[in-house]
Amino acid sequence: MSFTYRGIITRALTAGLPVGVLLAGYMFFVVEPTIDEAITLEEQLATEAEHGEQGGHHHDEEEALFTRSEQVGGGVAASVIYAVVLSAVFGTVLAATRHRLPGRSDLMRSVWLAAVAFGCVALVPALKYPANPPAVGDPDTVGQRTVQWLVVVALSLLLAWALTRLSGLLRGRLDDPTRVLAVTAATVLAFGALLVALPGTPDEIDQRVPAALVWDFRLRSIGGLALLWSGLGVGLGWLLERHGRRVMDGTDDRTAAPA
Amino acid sequence: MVAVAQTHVPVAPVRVPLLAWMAVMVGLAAVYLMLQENGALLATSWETLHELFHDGRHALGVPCH
Repeated sequence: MSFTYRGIITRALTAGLPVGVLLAGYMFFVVEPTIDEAITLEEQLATEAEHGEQGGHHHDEEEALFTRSEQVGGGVAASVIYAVVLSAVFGTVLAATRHRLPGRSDLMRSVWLAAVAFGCVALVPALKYPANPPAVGDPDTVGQRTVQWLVVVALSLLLAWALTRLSGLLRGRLDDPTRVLAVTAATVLAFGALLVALPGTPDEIDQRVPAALVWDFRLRSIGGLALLWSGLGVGLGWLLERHGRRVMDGTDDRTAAPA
Repeated sequence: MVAVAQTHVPVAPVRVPLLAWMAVMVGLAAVYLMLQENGALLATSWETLHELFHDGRHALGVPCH
């Protein structure tokens, strides 16, 4: 089955929009309750600090630019925008790498690429610099933490590319099971070394913030990202497969030209 | 053994137009502004972006205040 770029990108965006709506629903119903809980605690801690005259700085002491419900709306919008933009990036990268991806079908190729993307832009950064609910971060270190986050994502993508090259170099020199084992071992070692080598976050979690709240928030956050990437991988893969099957069945009129 | 050897099935490469890569760059720049910008590029309006997408930043696991 052959596809044009247009055929892949339209299907990627077709998958991206519903995945974004799903992610927005997940955000609203699953993540927001934890954010609310954290903000209540944050305000409580700020009030305590004021009473103690410790002069602790807190971002809500300034006049709020947006109300809480506007920020919830912003979070919902961010989920949809993020999913749609990433679906376009994902579709473009899939189009460029499709002929080199492992898998016997477009569904397998798409799921494979989405799994690699989830690992590089969600799982590895979450292991090194886990998501934090409000009330945890220090506003003064946000610049440094943003750079750290972008560096771990960039290095993860670089490693994924290098490991793909390694697999290509070993192809033909080792039998396939040995090659897969060798590349898997190299992957574990390389990402393990990356996680150990990079400096930790400058922030310390305030001891008054319950560990259960932080853990709960982190799980819900990574759950949303897993939902996003599995949705994109399965969604685009399924749409490509469905088109392939229709062409084979002859139920699609556009069989003459590749879509 | 045969199953492992057949994991890669050749398909024709897809030509990705330059315009598509440019659109990807624009999209990623927009996501950067939405989720990451904290004063590195924008002098003042970053605060508006930060506060508006505050919940999204926390939930999507990117650094926030």
